[in-house]
Amino acid sequence: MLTSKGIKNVKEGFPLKIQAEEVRNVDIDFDREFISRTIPKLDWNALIFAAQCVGHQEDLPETLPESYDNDEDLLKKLHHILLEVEVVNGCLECPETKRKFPISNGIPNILMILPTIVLLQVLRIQERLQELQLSVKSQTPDHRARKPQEARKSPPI
Amino acid sequence: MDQVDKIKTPDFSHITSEDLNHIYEPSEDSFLLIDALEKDLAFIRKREPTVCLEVGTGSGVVITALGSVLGPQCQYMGTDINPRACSITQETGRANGVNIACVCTDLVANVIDRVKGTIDVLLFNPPYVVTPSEEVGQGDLEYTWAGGVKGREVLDRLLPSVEALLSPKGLFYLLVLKENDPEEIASIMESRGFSCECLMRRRTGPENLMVLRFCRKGSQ
Repeated sequence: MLTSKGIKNVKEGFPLKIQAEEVRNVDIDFDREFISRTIPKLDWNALIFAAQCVGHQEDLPETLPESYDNDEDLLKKLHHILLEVEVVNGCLECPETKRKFPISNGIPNILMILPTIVLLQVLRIQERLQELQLSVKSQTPDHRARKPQEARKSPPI
Repeated sequence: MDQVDKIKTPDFSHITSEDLNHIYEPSEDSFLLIDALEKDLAFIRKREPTVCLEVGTGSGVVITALGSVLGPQCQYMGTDINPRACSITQETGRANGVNIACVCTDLVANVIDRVKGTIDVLLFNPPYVVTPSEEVGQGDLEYTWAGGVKGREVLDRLLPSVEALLSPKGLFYLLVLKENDPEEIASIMESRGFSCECLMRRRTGPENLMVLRFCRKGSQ
């Protein structure tokens, strides 16, 4: 589902290599209809690659058989690899730049983090802007609307 | 799964007051979006959705609410720029029996290429408050409400991607404020081949909220 195409000069950025440090199995009820509908949307080679990365490749055939919808065993294996094997901690590696994106607590973070030197420059500019805003603010009245947290205190339905 | 016509408000009691210093507390706008989805449930079900994506999940109540009625035959995905929100979204899903795959990213960056044309239900409750541009994205909570000029700066970054994201029968539910100029938003989407309907309105304090539903022209 994820790519590193956002990195400069990356052509495809897919598939990202999963380097799993911690994997866990969860129990999810098998829904035949969901698996059956999901299969046509899968990039089979990418799925095999991902399964290999987490040590589950032996469960899946090299190519998707045409009669997959009648193969209950295959559908259950797909259910397992798609929904029940979770990478808790690890990273995703861009195939072209080798840049790593962390996975923590099951959540991949693919925000493009700026290199430190650029980040420091951005922070300095932000500080300067804040100083300028404060000096303007002290001279003019504040006409900004109230923040929504102040307006919205009613309890949930 | 037996079809349910009402959406029960998801349990979000696991969210702590410390969490609320970083993520958006489910509020009237969140509940309005859930109410609109409930009203439109028959319309959504007729399209047999399989993939639902919420951009900017925050606490995760909205995608969880949808998941609780559409059931396990759908895949539920969420994105949020705040990793804490992603974590809480997954927890909210788990607490309510919905499996949500969450990714920490800016809107749909690095996700869109692989999900193009597959999203059957797209949800977005953007940071819509009209603020100076400099306030957009200045901190965890600012991410949740600061919308910049016309409260549109974040929404306007997602709009160009909506057409590519949605499947042929895809639906886009968007929460807006009157100040965000919904007529202009509808006009932008119309030029891309989408019709717009206002499903619900609600006035809460100083805010006039509305939920818009977009679908491809001719696919109603």
